[in-house]
Amino acid sequence: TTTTTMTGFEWPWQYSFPPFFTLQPNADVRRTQLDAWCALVVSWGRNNNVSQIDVTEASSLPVFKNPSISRSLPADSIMVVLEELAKRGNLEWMDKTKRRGYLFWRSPAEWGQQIYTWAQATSHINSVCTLYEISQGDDTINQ
Amino acid sequence: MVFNILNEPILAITSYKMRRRAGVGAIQRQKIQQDKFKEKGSEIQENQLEQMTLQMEKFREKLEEFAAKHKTEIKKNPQFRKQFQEMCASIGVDPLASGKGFWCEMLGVGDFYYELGVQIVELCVATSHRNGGVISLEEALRRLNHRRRQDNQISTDDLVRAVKKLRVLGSGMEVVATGSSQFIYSIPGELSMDHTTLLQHAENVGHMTVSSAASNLGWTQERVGRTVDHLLRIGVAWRDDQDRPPTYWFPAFFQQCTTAE
Repeated sequence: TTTTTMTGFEWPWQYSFPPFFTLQPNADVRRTQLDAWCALVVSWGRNNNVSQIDVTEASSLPVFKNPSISRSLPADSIMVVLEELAKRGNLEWMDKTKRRGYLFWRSPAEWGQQIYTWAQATSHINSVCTLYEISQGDDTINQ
Repeated sequence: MVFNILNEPILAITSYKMRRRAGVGAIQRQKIQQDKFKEKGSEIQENQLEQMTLQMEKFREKLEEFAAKHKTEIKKNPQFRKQFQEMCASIGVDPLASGKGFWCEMLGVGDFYYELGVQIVELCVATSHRNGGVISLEEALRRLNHRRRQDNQISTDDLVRAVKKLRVLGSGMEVVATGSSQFIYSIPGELSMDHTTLLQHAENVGHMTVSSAASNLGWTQERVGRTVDHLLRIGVAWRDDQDRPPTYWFPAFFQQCTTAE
C-alpha cells in the first residue's frame, strides 16, 4: 500500500523502505537508488509547486524524510541527490556556491522533446513560432 | 539312434569308459538345456514388450486425438492444461520437448509455454533493478495475469513449467522454494547454498542484523557477512545504516515493493 498525502501525492514504495535513506555501497544498486530519488524529488516538487531548493533547508523538506519509519536522508547524501539532479538537467545552481538551485520538473531536454513532438503533431517543423504561439496558440489549447 | 526331447542323441551306456564320457555329456546337455530355456524366456519377454509397446502406441494415438479435439480447452484452462500435462508425462511424452512434431505444431502447446517464457524473462528483467533478480511466484503470477485477457489466465503450474523449460535452454533462470513460498531467481551467476539459506531466513524475518542472522542460523558472523556482501553487491539486499547495528533488508520480500505498480 502506498501512502497518500491530502494533495493525493503517492509516495513510491521506496519511501517506506528504510534502506532507501542510506546511500547503497554498490555502484549499480546506487545508480538505481539515485534514479528513484531523482524521480521522487521531481514529482514531489511538481506536486507541491516547489521550484527552488535551498541546501541548508533541504533536510527539513518532507521529501527527504519519512517520520513514520524514523528515517531521513543525511545532509551529504542530499547533496549527492541534488548534484545528480543537476547532472540530469532537473536542477540548476543559482551560483558557484551551490547553496540554492532552481528545480525543473521538466529538464530542458524533456521540454525540447515535448516541444518537438508538439511541432511534429501540428506541422510546425521548420517554421518559426513565438513563445506565445507555442504556449497559448490555437494548436495548443488541449496541451 | 535315440533322440531325447531336446533333439539330442542319447548315448547308450555300454562301458565304464562310456559312463565317464556320459558324465561330461550330462553337464554339457544341462548347459544347452539352460540356454534353450533362456532363449524361450527372452522370447516370451520380447513378446510381452512388443505387446506393451503396441498398447502404448494405441494410448498415444488416443491421446493425440484427445489433444486435437480439446486444443482450445487446453489453451484456455489452466487446470485442464495441468492434468493434460500429467497424462502426457505418465507415458513419457513431453509436449514441449521440441519445436517440431505433432504436439508442437498441432497444439501450439510449445508456443504457449514459449511465449510465457518470454513474458517471464521480460518481467524479471523489468523488475530486477529493484529486487535484484528475485521475484516471488505469487507476484510474478499476479503481474503476468494482469497483462493477460481474462479467458487466457495462467496458473502457478504453468509458470513453474515455463521456467523449467527456460532453464533447459540455459537461461540461468530457476524456481527455488525458500521457506514457505517459491521464488523465481534470475540472477546471473549461481547462488550458493549459503545464499539461499540466508534468503530463506530473510523471507521469514523481513530484515536482519549480522549478529541476529548468525545466532539464528548457527553461523559465524564472518560467514553471514560474506554471504550478505554478495547479496548487497547484486542488489538483492540493501543496507540500512541508520539502525545501530546496521540492518539488512530485501526488496523482494518487502510488501510495498512487491505490490507496487
